[in-house]
Amino acid sequence: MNQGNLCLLLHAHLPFVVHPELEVSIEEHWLYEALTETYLPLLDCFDRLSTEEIPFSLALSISPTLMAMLKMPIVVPRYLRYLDSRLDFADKERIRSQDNPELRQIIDLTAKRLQVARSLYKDRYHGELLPVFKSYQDKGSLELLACPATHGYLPLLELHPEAIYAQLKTGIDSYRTSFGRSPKGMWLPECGFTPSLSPQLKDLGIEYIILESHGLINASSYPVYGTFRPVLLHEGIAAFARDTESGRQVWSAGEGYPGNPVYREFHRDIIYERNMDEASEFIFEDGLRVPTGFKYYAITSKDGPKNLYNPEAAHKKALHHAEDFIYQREQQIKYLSCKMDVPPVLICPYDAELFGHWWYEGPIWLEAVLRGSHLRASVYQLTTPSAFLARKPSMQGAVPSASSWGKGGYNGVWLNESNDWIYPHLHRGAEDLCRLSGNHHTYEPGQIRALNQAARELLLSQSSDWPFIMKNGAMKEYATMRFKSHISHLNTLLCQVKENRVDTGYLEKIEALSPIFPNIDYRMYQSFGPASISN
Amino acid sequence: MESYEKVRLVLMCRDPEWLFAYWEVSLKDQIKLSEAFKEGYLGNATWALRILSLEPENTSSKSFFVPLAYQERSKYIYLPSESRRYRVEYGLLGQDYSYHPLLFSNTISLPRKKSLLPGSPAYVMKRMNPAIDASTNTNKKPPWAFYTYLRDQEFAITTSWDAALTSTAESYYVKG
Repeated sequence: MNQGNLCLLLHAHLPFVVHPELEVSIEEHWLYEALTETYLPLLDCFDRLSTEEIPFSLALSISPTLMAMLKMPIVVPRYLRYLDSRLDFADKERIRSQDNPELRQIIDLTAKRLQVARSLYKDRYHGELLPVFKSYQDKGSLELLACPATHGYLPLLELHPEAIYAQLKTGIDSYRTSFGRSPKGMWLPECGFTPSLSPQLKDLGIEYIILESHGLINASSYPVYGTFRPVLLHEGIAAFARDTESGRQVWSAGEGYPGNPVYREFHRDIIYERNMDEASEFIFEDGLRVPTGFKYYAITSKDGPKNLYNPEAAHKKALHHAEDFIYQREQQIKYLSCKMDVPPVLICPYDAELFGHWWYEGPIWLEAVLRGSHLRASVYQLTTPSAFLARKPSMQGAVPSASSWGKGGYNGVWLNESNDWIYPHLHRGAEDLCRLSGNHHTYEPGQIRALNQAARELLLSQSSDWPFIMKNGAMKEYATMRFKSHISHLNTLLCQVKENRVDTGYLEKIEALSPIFPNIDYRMYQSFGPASISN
Repeated sequence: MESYEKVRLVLMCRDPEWLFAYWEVSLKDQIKLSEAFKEGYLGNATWALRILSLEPENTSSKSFFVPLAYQERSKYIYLPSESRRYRVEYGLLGQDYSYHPLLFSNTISLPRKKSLLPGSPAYVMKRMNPAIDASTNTNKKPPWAFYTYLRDQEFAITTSWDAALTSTAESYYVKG
């Protein structure tokens, strides 16, 4: 009999970055890069394990903005075009490197992954990934968690409970539409928790959440099992916490596996070493360069020259790191199970995009961990949060502390000198929409349509990605532009509704920019007391 | 982006040690207040935030002032104490320390920055199913050996664990 439980949890998220109005958008490529490097390899891994009848268990949250983009018909031809342009680029790179067999090998490997992605997307999955994720949930291998509508950072929306409710409700509705059932778990963006969320989560039928470690450690009563068992909130929701030890082994920039010198260097796309004649399709006239995904160097060291990437060595290292991860978890669980009077559960949440996009060899590692955990099931069992809760474990009652997994552990990443200017707009927008959504109003169809679009704009403006990007510099202008654009649309629409002069042309134009949440209902912003929320 | 020309004062939590407050005062109110200022109604008053730390019953227990420049519309406020609930007022502070608040913020609760001492060895075990809960909701002795393991740090316990345990480990030894 195994002595403990291990729960691997991936969180897949991108902000809504598809721009139907533009022929080329660098930000839209974030989706295509993640498809190629993370989402398709992940499904391919599930398929392989399934074909080989290797049982696995994994939890995954897919944000509603990502789900919406994966469903957009326009994405299919655009993604295939993205892949084809890079396969054409591979041909040019092969010619340029014909005298360098080592480089040629890297180019061939990259091109092969592009071809595999193309085949998976077009031929195996027919451009529809969500039904495949759903099928794995239906088979019991995968547990899908819900996520708030646009990945809003909920603790900083606390001023208007209606705004939090709209994020949660819209996220759950998206989940039900895509996966045909109600979610049991809710992934809180950035693990952002504050106790005032609990009543709303409960009323919306959520059974568990995942917190950063200190959310549990600093709870209202000291958690006797630390982060190795969930606690039960007053509302009857279970709160699991991230295991810091396993988190550090994968996440840590200095000590974590992804920083190993043999792995592929993320930051050295070859486009920055090519001129206009060599890569005209990836270099704009203003000098802006579009990443190609072709990266020829290994991490090597922080400073100094980089070695050429060695795919075999990197593959071997990823397998070794997977073995190390399994061994470390075994040791951890063996020790804990001797000291605890109940079996421990280790919760290991990671951004899904770490595996493949940021850490090129991550999918190899992940598959090896899933395979190895099956073979070594005598010490621990792979599980999911709801499978663990289905055993009806006893849990300590506690109120976790407000917390997040951002730097500093609280709200500082999303509230600081670089981004605090957004909050007056977010709060005012929520307040105005709540006021106009009051049930004493009677609206004409045009006003209702405008209010629904206003609700979309408010949700989109609340995405945690915008303040995060504003703080971290890269693509800051884009984040600022997106935020201002959504707030401007919101204010214009609310003004038109108030004055009953909805400009249909304007409305149609901005509806086309954000084809998301088709069944949204602005009335979810009607003021309520937590007790009056109905599911 | 434009100001909304309305009146409000909002208080937000950045972390257990820092608050963030922003305020919006309408142009009309600003003019009115400036005129009052010019007429000497408030003497040489200065704009200031008053930070109030609150007892659980929402009664004000302690407060301190943070002077502001006229054009300031937001402020990060460092908290010298470890109170958990705060609200803020925005107003004019006279030379005689009389305070004339104009705007009142929401009240917020701050997160703990460290773990609580266990205090009592009793704790309540619960289950999600209330029917089961009723039969098992008993006080139970914690597994002290588990804490000893943590204290030994036989694994590389991360910083957050160290921080969480530093203040509590001695108590465990005494009790254990």
